[in-house]
Amino acid sequence: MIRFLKSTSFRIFAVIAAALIAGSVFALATRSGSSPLTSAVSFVFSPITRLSSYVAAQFESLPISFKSSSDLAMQVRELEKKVDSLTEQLVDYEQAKNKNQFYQQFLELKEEHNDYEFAEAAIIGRDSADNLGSFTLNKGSLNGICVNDPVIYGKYLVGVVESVTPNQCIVSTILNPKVNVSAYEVRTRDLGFVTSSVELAQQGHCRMPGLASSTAVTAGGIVCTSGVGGIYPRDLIIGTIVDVVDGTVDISASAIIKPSVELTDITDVFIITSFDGQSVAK
Amino acid sequence: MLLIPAVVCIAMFERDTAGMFFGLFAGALWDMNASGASFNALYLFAVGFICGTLINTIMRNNIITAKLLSMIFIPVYVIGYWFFHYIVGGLDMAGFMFLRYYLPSIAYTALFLPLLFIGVRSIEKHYSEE
Repeated sequence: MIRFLKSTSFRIFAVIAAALIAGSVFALATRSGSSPLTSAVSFVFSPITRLSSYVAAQFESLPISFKSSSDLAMQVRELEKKVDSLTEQLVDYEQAKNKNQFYQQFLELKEEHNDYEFAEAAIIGRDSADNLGSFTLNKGSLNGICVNDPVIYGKYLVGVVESVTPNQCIVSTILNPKVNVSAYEVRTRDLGFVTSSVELAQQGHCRMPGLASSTAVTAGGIVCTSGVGGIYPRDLIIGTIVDVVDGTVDISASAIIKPSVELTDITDVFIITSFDGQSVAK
Repeated sequence: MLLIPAVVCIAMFERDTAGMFFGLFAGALWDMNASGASFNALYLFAVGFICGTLINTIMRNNIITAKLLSMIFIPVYVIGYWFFHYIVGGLDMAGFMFLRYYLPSIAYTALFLPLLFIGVRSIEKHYSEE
């Protein structure tokens, strides 16, 4: 055993393991959520991640066609060419339409709030071990992104930046039970906060607990951020109330909210890097 | 999660030093898309080292050993992930998620082990013959 502990490979193992643990402690101490190793690796390999994300997107848009024989293939080749061309045009049109819609909503928001500073970002990865909707964006601290920056899609709140490397950041969505957003219901002005649970997250919902049992909040009401706390700016739309249920442990009620944006379908988002009233200690 | 059996297989053929560095590299790439401050790098680094060392000292390099090692390291990772995120994190439906999501993910990951082992073995054979 002593011979094993004195071996070169064990020494290398011990030194690197100590360095990794130190890096993790450093990440926790600096609250960046990512260690120096992760930052360095993501800096070097983020172009490859972007390339693979682009290739995957291209493959998804390819029409798949099987040919039963070479004769048939000859006959339908011309038609396939036309179909391919039209499909490409359709994909381009859909992409342009989505992009246009995305920027239109962004423009409205920008006109309403001159104090907001944005960074546009694309989703380039998801962690298979995390089933609460977290995703990776292609912008990091080099683009001015910080931990706790809000992430939006048009006027709708998507989530918050959880950790940052120089080129990338990881976002926790509002479906993550660890994310709490101060919020209010637009019609009744009832204040509270929005969070979620694993059960609701699986259904794509979140909730606003702690409402008075006599609350006037009803299904169909819209819930927005209240701006309290300085993490999220005021008046970003979180979602629509689909139900109001009584609490199981006390006399309060909870509003079940369906987020206004389909969090699993989005591909591009905006990160708000600065706004009036943002907490300095974010 | 297929990276875990991949690191196990490569460390079994390449032994401790190369295995741990491959584990470190694979884990660091995994950490790019996962939260947890280098946990994956540290875990796969240790997996590479342990597997390589075991093959060097007390175990044979065959598919049974690969299965055995994978069926230790995959559940350890998945149960650890589930424990720290759901139990320590105080999330609801921990038992349900374990049975419906994490337990099947262990089975699905382990299912691909023979393919990985055969792939790594043929690459190893090809280059050792050269």
